[in-house]
Amino acid sequence: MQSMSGGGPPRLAEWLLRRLVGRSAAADAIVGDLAEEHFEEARARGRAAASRWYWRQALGVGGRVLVSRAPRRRPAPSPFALPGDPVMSGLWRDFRLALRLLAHQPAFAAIVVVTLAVGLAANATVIALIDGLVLRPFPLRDIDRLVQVYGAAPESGPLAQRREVSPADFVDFQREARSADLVAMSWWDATFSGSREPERLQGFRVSPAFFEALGVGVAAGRGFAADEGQAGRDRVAVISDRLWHRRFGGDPAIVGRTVSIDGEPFQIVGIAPARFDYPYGSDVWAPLAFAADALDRRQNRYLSVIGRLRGEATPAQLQAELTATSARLAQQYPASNRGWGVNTMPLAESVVDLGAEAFLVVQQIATLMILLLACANVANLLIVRGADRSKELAVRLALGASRWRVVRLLVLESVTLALAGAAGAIPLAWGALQACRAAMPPAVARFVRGWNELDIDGRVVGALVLLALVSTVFFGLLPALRATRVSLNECLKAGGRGGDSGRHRLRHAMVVVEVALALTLLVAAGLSVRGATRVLFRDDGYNPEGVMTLRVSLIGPAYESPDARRAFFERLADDARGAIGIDGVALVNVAPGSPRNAGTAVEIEGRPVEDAAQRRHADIRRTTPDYLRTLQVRLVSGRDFSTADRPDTLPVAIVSETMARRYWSGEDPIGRRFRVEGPDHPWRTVIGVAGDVHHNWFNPEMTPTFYVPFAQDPSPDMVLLLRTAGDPSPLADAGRQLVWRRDAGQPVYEVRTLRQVRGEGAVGLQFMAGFMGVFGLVGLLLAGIGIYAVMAYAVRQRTQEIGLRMALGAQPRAVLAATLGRGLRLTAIGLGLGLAGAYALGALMERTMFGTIEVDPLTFVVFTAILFLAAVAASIVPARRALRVDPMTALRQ
Amino acid sequence: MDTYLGEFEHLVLLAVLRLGDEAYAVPIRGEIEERAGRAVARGALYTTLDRLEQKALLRSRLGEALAERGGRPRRYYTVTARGRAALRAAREAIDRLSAGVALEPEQA
Repeated sequence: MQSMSGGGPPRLAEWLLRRLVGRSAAADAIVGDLAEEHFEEARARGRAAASRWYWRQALGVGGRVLVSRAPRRRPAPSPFALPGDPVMSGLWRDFRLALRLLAHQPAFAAIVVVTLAVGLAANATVIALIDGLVLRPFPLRDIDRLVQVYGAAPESGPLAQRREVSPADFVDFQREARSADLVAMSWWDATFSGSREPERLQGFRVSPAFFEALGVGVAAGRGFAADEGQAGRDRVAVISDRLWHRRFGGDPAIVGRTVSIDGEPFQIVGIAPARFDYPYGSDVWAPLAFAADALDRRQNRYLSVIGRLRGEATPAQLQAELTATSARLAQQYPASNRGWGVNTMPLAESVVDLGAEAFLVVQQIATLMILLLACANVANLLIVRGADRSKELAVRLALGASRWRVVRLLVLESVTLALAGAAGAIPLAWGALQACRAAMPPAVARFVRGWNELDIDGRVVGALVLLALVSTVFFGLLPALRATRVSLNECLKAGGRGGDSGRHRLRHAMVVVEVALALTLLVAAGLSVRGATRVLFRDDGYNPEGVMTLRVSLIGPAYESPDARRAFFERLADDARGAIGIDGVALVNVAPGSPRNAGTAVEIEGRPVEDAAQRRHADIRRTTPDYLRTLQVRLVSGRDFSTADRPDTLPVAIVSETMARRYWSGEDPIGRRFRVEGPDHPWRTVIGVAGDVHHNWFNPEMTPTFYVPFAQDPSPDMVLLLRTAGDPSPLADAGRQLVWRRDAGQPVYEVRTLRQVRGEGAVGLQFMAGFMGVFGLVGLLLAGIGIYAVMAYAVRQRTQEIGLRMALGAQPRAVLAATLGRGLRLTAIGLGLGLAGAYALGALMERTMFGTIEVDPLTFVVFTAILFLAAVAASIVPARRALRVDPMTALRQ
Repeated sequence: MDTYLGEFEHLVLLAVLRLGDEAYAVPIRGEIEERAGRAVARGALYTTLDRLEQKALLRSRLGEALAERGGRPRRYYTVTARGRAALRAAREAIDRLSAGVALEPEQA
């Protein structure tokens, strides 16, 4: 037997054919016949032509055989199907018929498709956000085996369950965890310097087993060796693929080369794989080495801990093991660990922004409401159209079409409209998503995992189509069922109106529902906008206008000593004060309103604490003497720092009102002493009390804060604040020049105005307000259209009755009042329901947006009034048209 | 007569009869296309063969498997006695109806 040249028909086509024809011996023979003919074709005309031929035949034969094998139903005595027609081709015919019917009424179809597209696009946008930010699979291998371990503080609130871990605690956890291999990560702001301009990058110091734990192999070079996790051996680094290309030009010889990071020589030992930048967009990783005394300070919590579960272990098992460990630590070290526990969760859950999840839930609810509104409008339109076709449908039913077949035809029309709406929604949603991405400041986007990968992908489209089909049930099924419940007799009567009271009730219900939904959306929009405005423009205790901030972190051995740091910054401040256009200069370690913070534990002289849970915390600010004045923070009592406060004079501090009230309740804090916890820190005397500055927008309460003179505690990492009378934007360049005139090798970064800093903190709220604003307007528009449509139709239906009334002498005003009255009654019911819904949604938003949104009655009242007026307007127009009805024409209809 | 032959069924039966022992789908189709000068869709042919077999006008048997068929056997058809009877009846009906009818165009 000669061997086959080429190996037979196309495998896929043959597989398809086999599926279509089934598995009998007869079916086998058919497949064999085609194979034989393919063989001949290939010999005569070549493989390519034969394959094409085969595909055509396979589909043709397969389809035909499949159809002939379909179970035969009793032929329906209906004009929609020929006797003996199989189910499938009947459906296809109905679909083509539906398309034809819609094509006859392009205006109607267009309105419906546009309405649905708007509703679906809103949902698709939010679905894309949810998929990208909350659900999306994280690009790590076996993500479900990875967990994150947080410290659980003995306080309340969602943030208390996501605290960092101290090095000593981590070492104990690592040793005693049998269910997982744990690694730790620590923030590292790495400054690359050298041949190119200095650059400040996000990096992390990590345990040597970091890459193994994540299951990530380096793309070049190697990861870290176990012994590199100690001081002295830790001057090695792995850089990201992105950094490799951007700064080192993709040079293959980079591995093994030494570069300058933070002024010290680091050897590059590896390159991370492409697109890997965990966590937070990191560009460089180095081994984590604990200084000897770091292990003594169990209260210093700054490590993030993740781990890979071993074998079949579950996160619950790890949680149990670590809880036991932390309980033991709490007993052994009550001062630092009393009341502290652990919180283990799957890594995929932990990377989701806390705020994002809550925010997106609210958005999804709002968009579903919009979709319901759209469906209600479309349902209205379809009911009207059904009423117009009542004669046609009655005839069809009388001629023998089963009700099921007619309903199926109408539903198919709805499905076609829904799918067209979905198709239209895709470009709308894509545009909306681009607008969202453009509106997000890049500094914040970095922290929102998955933001840069947001896209309308297959999953979103799939969800969109599903939603479109489901919404068909809402807007298509009911009108279809109603439309077929007609009585032939009544329809064919002269002047048949074809309406029954049930239809009226349904339409009235629609109006009520629409008004309720619209009010809910409008109120939510109002609350969001008010919340955002309030946060953006609230008095946070300082004046952010006209201030430019620039962050400088001194690197290099020249600035090791406090004197060198002090000298640098004080001279920088002097230079700045002399510059033209600058009215005020100050330095502080953390700019007010920024996402960073610096806090510490404090001891109050004369008021010791017993256990860890009662330890006192406060935010620390190291400032130059004119800080309070430059930012226009109120000085409540005492005095500000002066140039007389030097390192060799009395250590002093200024405390905030909240700190004074909380830690020296009932007494004047001035003259009292406190210190940063620990014997190395000096006791500071309080010389003044300053007004509270609201720093963290997540927390509506003020935190205790204290200020120390920069001269007495110089930090290498400071923010330069420059105030001017007008627009501070030109100060960005001026500020950079000032710094580089002092030292050209120091990177200047995070250059933005205080207003922008505040804006970045409130980004989530601004997005919420933006989204809700749009949804509110769309809701108002849809509801307005819906009310108008229903009223107009009602008037049209009753022209006969109206004409009769007027012919009998009714006053036009009475007719108007009657029409209007009905509309307003429905609106009132809708408003009542809407208030309940708005209250519920408002309460949800209040709870989930960290207290930045408050339910206030004024917003409710205002939008109720607005919607009421809109409803009146929408009802008046058709009502007035009722007046212009000529009684003679109306009666003749 | 008990079975009525459709036009295509008629052609298929005749083709099977002509091909004798070698009547399987491929040459049956070729025979009809060549001799009757009419295009035959494979799908229609298979369904007709099935139908004829259901009506007991044809009988089928499986032949040997061949390599160029991917190891699948051919399905050979033969006309049953009933099939022959149906063919005879059809031929006679056509003859009776055609008797005396002029099929050439009339000479004016």
